[in-house]
Amino acid sequence: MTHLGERLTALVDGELGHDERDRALMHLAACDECRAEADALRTLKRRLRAMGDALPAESLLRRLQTMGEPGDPLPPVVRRLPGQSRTPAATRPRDTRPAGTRPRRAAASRRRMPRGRYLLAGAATLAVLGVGSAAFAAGSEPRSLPRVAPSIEQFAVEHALTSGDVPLTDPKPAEKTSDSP
Amino acid sequence: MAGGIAATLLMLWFVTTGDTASGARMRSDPEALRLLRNAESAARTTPYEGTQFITAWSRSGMATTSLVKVTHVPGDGTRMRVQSTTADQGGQMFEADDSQHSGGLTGYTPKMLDLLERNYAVVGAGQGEVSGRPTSVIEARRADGTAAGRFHIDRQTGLMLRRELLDQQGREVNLTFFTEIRPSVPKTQFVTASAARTVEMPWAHRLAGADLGSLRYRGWPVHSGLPDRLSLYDARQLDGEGPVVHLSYSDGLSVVSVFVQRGTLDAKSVAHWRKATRGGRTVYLRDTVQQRAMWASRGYVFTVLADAPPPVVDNAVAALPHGDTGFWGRLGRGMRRLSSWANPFD
Repeated sequence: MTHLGERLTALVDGELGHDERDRALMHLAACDECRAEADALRTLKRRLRAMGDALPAESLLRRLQTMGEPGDPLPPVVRRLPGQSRTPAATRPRDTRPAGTRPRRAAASRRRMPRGRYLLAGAATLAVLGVGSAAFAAGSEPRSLPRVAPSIEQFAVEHALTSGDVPLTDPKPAEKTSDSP
Repeated sequence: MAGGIAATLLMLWFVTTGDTASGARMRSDPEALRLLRNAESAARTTPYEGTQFITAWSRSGMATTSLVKVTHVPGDGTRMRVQSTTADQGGQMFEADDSQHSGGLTGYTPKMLDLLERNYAVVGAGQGEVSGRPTSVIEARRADGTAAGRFHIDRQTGLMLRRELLDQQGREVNLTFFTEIRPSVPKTQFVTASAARTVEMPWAHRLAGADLGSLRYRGWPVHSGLPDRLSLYDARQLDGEGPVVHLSYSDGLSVVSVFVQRGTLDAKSVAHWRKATRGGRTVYLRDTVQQRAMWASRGYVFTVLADAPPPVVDNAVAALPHGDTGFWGRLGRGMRRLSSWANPFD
């Protein structure tokens, strides 16, 4: 079975078309792996949304962006003027493909600009690492656990009372031996 | 009324959620079940006195035997006094007739009977005789047809006169029967039995489903079932500075009690116990009156008391936590703590 892969993120982001979304949902119904991944992505998205203002610093975002495109220099940040198109028409090659075979602009844009996804993944990694470290630190055993000597005679009576037997205590202690089956 | 409904629901919850049985219910003989159910009411309504012979065999073949004097006064209760025993010392106890726990040889508790019916085929197995009294023999059979338990019901009074717990090879693990029994008690002994009684009750703090959920949330190892179709049918707590949680498991025949305490094990407690290895971990064992096991793991001390065949006890012990918490255990505990810190209602 082919998994959803990249389409999973698009599904969670609500970017799939109607038919494609239905197909993806049908796949999710039958695929535990993709369903689990979708749940994780949705949870992550919810948590990040809940973080509100607590977004990473601009410098960190820039570094994460760099990690997403290894080897390539960062493209210059172009500030568009109102009304100016994303890419100047003069610098864009003319698309001579038949209209039906042209990919939709949103999909093409998603392939060219995975920045949001990298940011999401980076922030998620940081969040998981942070929460995980905190949980690991908080999960240490208490330093002074009480030393316990179980009251076996009392337990024998309690066992007898709940099981309907007569409470009897142990025979005299035997010599200590070892047994390793 | 509400209490009764709650108790019924609680009992239902224990019986249903603790189900580890994988197969469908085996077919039982309704007449055999009726006789077992009647034995419980007969044990409450019939006056009698007699002597019980109780023997438990350890895995090494050593037997511990006790003779127990039993007197029952209807509407009052059952007095049991150990006359002689190969155990270190005998005790005595009094079980009131309104107790929900009277069982053993004198009857069979409804909860245990439910579990028995669910896990075994309960069938009639002919006629027998105990202490010169004619009996109806009933067997609880495993799926492979072998007998796991055998009961003799007095044909005159309906009392259970003999009970055997058998292992897979047909050997007796526990045996209890009346060496003598008189189905009437002189009036003078009614007074004696009542006056000299030592009333024993299980721990009063009974744990409901929500309590068990809360314990699990706080990291306590509370299993709803153990291997060999042992279901959690009763849970109680002894309150105090160091609370003890008592979890009772049964399949209708075998009974395994698990006592859990927070802390580390005091080495003096197991000074005369046998050190053994189970699943690569150290466990201290004693199999005399009951089979007993004790060990510490992950900040808890476990004490297991069982009336069950040795393999059943071994499987139960192996299914309970052993060793350190480990990375994921520590992470899980930390997550629970973090969430409890963030939750203002916790």
